[in-house]
Amino acid sequence: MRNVCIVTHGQMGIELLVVARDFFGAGDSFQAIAFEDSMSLIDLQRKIEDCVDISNNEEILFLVDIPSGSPYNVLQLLKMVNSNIEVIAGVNLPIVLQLIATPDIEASNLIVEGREAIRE
Amino acid sequence: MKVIQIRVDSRLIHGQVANFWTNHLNVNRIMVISNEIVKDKMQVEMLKLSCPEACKLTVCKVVSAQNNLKNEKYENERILIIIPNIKSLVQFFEEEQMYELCRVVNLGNIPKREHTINLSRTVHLLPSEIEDVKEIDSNVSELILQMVPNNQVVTFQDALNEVKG
Repeated sequence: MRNVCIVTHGQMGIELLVVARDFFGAGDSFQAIAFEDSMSLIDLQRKIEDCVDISNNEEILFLVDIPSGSPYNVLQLLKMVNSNIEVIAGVNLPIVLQLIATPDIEASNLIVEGREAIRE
Repeated sequence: MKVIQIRVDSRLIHGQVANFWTNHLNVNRIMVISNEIVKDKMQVEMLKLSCPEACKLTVCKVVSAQNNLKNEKYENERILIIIPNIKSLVQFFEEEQMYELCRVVNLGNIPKREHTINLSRTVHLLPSEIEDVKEIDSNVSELILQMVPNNQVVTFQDALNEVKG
């Protein structure tokens, strides 16, 4: 099972994971990192590297909040030198729940599911 | 050619810039000015990825930026300058002609470091950097702290007075 790490501005990702754990049973393969106001890009990169072992070639899926946001930018940098990293921007609860239900879903399909879940 | 704003932002082109500032200021070029970043291939690639489609991108050394601006290289363009830190901002304004071209400086995101003083949620300056910014403040028409366009504009002077109490 691949590891999943949610990286967002502020506590959003951490809270998302709390909900996913407490109500939907997300397991230990899920983690979350908060990018705080006072942090630099290097601080964020270190925090990601401390939290997730990206150098061991295991597949890791990062879910970030917005395209072009700092979490997204830093992970694009890490992705250039680590082919085992995937990044999806626009994380929402349905995406996280889908990953709990089908942990090996392909990133492209996961994006479709995430979009599908936004509706009237 | 018009430089609409200089934004000091260690996070470079990120959500606040890509989603809000470029639209709000209606710019069509982003210039990222730093002697360090231009040498870092990965950072340059990252900037290309994060630059909004509506904007052209220039990443260059301080001296090249000064020359391009002096020579009016970007005719008819509206430019947002992003400078990553106070050190590069000081280098940029060592060429005094830049004061005539760039009238508004906005301190966006400058991270907390050892001995920094907190001027706003996202702006942390060393005492020496505060002195540098004071000097620049006396030569530009606006030196402000504004994270996103919806935030109230706080002048550097007011932020400083707030810290001193």
